[in-house]
Amino acid sequence: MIIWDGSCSRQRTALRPGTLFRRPDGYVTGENGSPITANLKLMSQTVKYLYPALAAVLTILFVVTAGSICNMLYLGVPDPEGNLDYFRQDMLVMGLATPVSLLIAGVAWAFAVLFYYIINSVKFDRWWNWLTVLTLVAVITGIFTGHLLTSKIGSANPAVLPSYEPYIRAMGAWGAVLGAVFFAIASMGIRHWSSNCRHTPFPQ
Amino acid sequence: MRLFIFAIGGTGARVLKSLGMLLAAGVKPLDPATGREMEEFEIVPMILDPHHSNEDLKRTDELLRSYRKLRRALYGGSAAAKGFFATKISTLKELLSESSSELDDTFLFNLGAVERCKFSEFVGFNDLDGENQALLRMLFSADQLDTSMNIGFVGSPNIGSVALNMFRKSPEFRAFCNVFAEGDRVFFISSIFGGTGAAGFPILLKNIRHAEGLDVNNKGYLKRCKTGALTMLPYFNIEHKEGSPINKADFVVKTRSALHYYDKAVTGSGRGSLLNAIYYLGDTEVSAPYANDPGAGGQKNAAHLVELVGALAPLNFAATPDDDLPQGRTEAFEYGLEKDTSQVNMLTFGPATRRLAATPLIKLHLLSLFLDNKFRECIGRGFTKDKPSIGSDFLSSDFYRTLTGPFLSKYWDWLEEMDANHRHVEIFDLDVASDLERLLPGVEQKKGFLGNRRFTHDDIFSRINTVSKHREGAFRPDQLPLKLMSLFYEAAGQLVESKFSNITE
Repeated sequence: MIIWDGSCSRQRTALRPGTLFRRPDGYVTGENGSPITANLKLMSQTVKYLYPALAAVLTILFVVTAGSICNMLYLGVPDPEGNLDYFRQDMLVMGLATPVSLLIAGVAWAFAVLFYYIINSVKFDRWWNWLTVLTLVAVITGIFTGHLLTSKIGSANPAVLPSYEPYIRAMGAWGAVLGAVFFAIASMGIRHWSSNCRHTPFPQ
Repeated sequence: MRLFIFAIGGTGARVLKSLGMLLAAGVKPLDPATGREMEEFEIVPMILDPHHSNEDLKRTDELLRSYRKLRRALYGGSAAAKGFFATKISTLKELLSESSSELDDTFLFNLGAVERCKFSEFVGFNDLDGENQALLRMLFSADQLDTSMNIGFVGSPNIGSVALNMFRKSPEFRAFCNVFAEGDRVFFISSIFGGTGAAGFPILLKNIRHAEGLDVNNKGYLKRCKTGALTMLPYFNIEHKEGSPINKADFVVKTRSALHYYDKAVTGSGRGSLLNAIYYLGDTEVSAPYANDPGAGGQKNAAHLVELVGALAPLNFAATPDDDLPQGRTEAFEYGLEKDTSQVNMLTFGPATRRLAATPLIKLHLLSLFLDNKFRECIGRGFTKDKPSIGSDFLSSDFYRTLTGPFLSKYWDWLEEMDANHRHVEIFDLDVASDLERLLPGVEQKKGFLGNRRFTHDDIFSRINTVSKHREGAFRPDQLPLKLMSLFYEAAGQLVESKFSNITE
């Protein structure tokens, strides 16, 4: 007796009861040849590719709209002399938002690739290992954001550095937070193909 | 192809135990033409020994039951499978229709009256007239007439040759004839220097070959089927015990007389060959002496290298093409190690044996070590989280408990017994639990990146994760045992190939 499998163009011969269906690539499965199961699998694979796409879109949006984001950030520091507006203006005029955003996104994605594909170790696949890397990303992006702003503003107008220091520190803190956020976004985007860490920090 | 194996006596049971270990590792007969494993290969073992309290028999029976239970959990009733426990092992009852209630679902052959009475009672000595009693007294000693056969035939094949003739009237034999089909084969495993095996093998063989005189089915197939036998020459030593009917000094004498008989009545130079293939196996190296126990104490002998090698015989027989086993002639086979040494490691076996059995045995051993040392730690990580996920409740599942308890504990007993014997079998360093690069004594592992030879359970875990990634969606939620075993089998195969590829050269 021949069974027509509507989800593919191949005919399959009927199975004796209890026989496992052996797929042509050698995998042993149960009766997974039904159209419904095949479609569910297809959906699952499609969703898997959506994650990196979404992560990439979010990152690109972040870089493109960095200036606007920068202006919205609460720097939360005392501003008795009203230097905050000057600081934001200098950042806008000097075009510092984009390199800062690229730094944050670059470090976050680089560490995500490092964790999931270069280290990619069963000795370093626990959620606290991931959290350690996330903390490291936050620290690095925070410090480098501060250094980048200091060096760029300092080289253009060193006289304003003392007054801009609180805002630079605040921007560094935001860099740390955004670095951690984008490390998490990059992690969710690219972890699916990691052999040892694809369920880190939580199961897919 | 279905192979019916009659394992007769204590030696038959011990060889069958070794065969069970090889089959659990995934060893299958190799087609000599293509070098590939035989796809559908099923074994129907029947253990014949009236001594049901024989410890060796009990261990083998328990092992086969565990094997069958584990295999059912993995592959259901399918005969075609690849990996650990791939070969189907069935009882006679399983092959009959479900409505058959004549047989018990067991691997033990019910020898009925043989197991329950003395030999004199069995032959009805007291009911015979004086002349017949005198004849029996000439043929059998007083001790032999007084032998309780529930502990076997205590080194007296002349008793066994009478008692085991009841085999042809047994429901098991009728069932065997009913299920026997064209293309099926029969194999006997027995010793030639004991009692049960030496007596049983020729009797069983004759009853099968001359089944046309009996009221059974498939006589034609039985008459023409390919039959093989492994006959074990003396290979172990026993302690001297005053008054015991078992005496090592008799082994050689009994062997010679049995071989002489086989030559006339079994293998051909007399009335024609009843057998297509005979495998002779023994060991001249004196083993560590076993306890002199005719049977009353349980008769538990340590596993021996010769039993492991003997287990290869039915596999070789199954793989031999029909054309190489012509009717009317017996092909004789022997086995030789690559070198005669008391320290047997993996390289002591010849290349053909290593190609057949080395990789599967290494995989089974790695599985045992991994489950013992690493698997619990893996729950909730890596491949165990791929769907269907393996949670901590899997550790209390029937499959896992049977695998790590009844089965693998016997596996370790088997290895330790062979290692402790005089001809040490050191195919694995039994002290190695986690430094797997030292697993195979005498075998140098291939160097890895930057000359690194380190091999740990983390490497196995990592490789299983990689394999699982590529087999996404391959398992149903009710196939957790299959998922674990199948992924491990493939991952371990890749690692053995990369780290110990010289093992099969």
